[in-house]
Amino acid sequence: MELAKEQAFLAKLYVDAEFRGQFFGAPKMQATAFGLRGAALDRALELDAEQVRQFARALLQKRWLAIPKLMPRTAKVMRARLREQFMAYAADHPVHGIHKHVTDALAFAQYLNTPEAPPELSYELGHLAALHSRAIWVFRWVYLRQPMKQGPSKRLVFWWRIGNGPLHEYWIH
Amino acid sequence: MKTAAQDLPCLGVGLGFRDRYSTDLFSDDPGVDFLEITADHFFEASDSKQRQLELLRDRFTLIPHGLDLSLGSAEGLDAEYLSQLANLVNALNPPWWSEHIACTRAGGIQIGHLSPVPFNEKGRQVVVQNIHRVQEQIPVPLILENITYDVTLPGGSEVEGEFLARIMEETGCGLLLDITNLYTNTVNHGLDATVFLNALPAEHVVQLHFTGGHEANGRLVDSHSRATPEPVWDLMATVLQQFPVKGIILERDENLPPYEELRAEMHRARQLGRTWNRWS
Repeated sequence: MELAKEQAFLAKLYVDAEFRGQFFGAPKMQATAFGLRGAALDRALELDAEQVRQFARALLQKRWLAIPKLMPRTAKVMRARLREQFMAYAADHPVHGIHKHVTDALAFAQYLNTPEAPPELSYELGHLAALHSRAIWVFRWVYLRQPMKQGPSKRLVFWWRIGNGPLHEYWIH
Repeated sequence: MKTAAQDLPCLGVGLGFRDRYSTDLFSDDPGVDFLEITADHFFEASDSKQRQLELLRDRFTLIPHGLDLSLGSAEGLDAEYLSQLANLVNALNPPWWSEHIACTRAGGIQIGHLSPVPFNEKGRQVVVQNIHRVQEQIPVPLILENITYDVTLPGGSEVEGEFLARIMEETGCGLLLDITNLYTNTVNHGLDATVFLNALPAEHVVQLHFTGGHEANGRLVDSHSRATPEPVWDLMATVLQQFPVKGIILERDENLPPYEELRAEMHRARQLGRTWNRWS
């Protein structure tokens, strides 16, 4: 069905920054390569580039709004750098699923997980994994920042739930 | 199945439920006549979320509001999402429930927000076909919300009000008229609100949404994050004079203020409704 194809094209345009750049760089070639023909092709060529980019920015902003709520410790430490990193990550990483905000935050946390990442991220990686997997239990080494000492300390944290019950958390000294 | 406003109960003025206001809502006088709940938040609900739903249901009339059914998707509906939605709505058995005239999913991609449907015959046929499928699984009356949009889709042969009116006539659905969305589109796209409203079948306008957004780069953003601006209040007065509205929901999602600010806005909306004899 022509409209289904057109909507698939629009969806990709909205969420895929690379595809969007390719399309507005060579509209007819890219739209034709996607499979649009006739009136659908004509409509694609009439799209307002700034409107499409505006919507794409709005989609990223909407995804961003959930991140500080799901990663509060990392957000507090990284501040504006967290948003910069997320916007760069999200432009090329669309998200799926019913609980997509948790999925998005976990994938982003894993993306951030480099030797340069703040120790606070270690907690969020475990907590988000526990939220996302809905497994009975998850455990992870969590690194805590210590203001007066060299390097972070290490603690083992367990997260667990029973059935559909709440997620519990226990820190081992 | 026809959703004429006259056949539905008058609910008054309420709030989109947010966890932060749980304590206020269960006080002696929350100033709320009914609540709208985001349906998606109660899918695969944990025990605590299910208990929350039961407590809310015991105290308030709950109107489920879906976000991701994607009634405008030409590829059809997501069967799992529809099933979860049907389970929730049919279990609650509200006076009505709501979704959007929008596309949120296409070609295996979840867009992540409401995107517009082309205002033409093909777009309308897709929406009507999807609604008929929904009505087979969810007999509760459905009302449909107008959205804001950044992208004006080429190929539209109908104006938006006329497009919505024809969908309501062909499906029997009511309208969830989002006044803030209408106002936002008048500012951002030059939509004529009077033309839009005059195209609507009066008996189908069931419920309103209202809230405030913010301005960015010369455009209004439908962020649900600010107090309701005066032009939206003016538009609400016009709408309440013209249509037999049965309920109004304040839809504040971000930058949540103290509860008293929301109570004051609900009170103002309730007074406006009394001015036009929508409720006592």
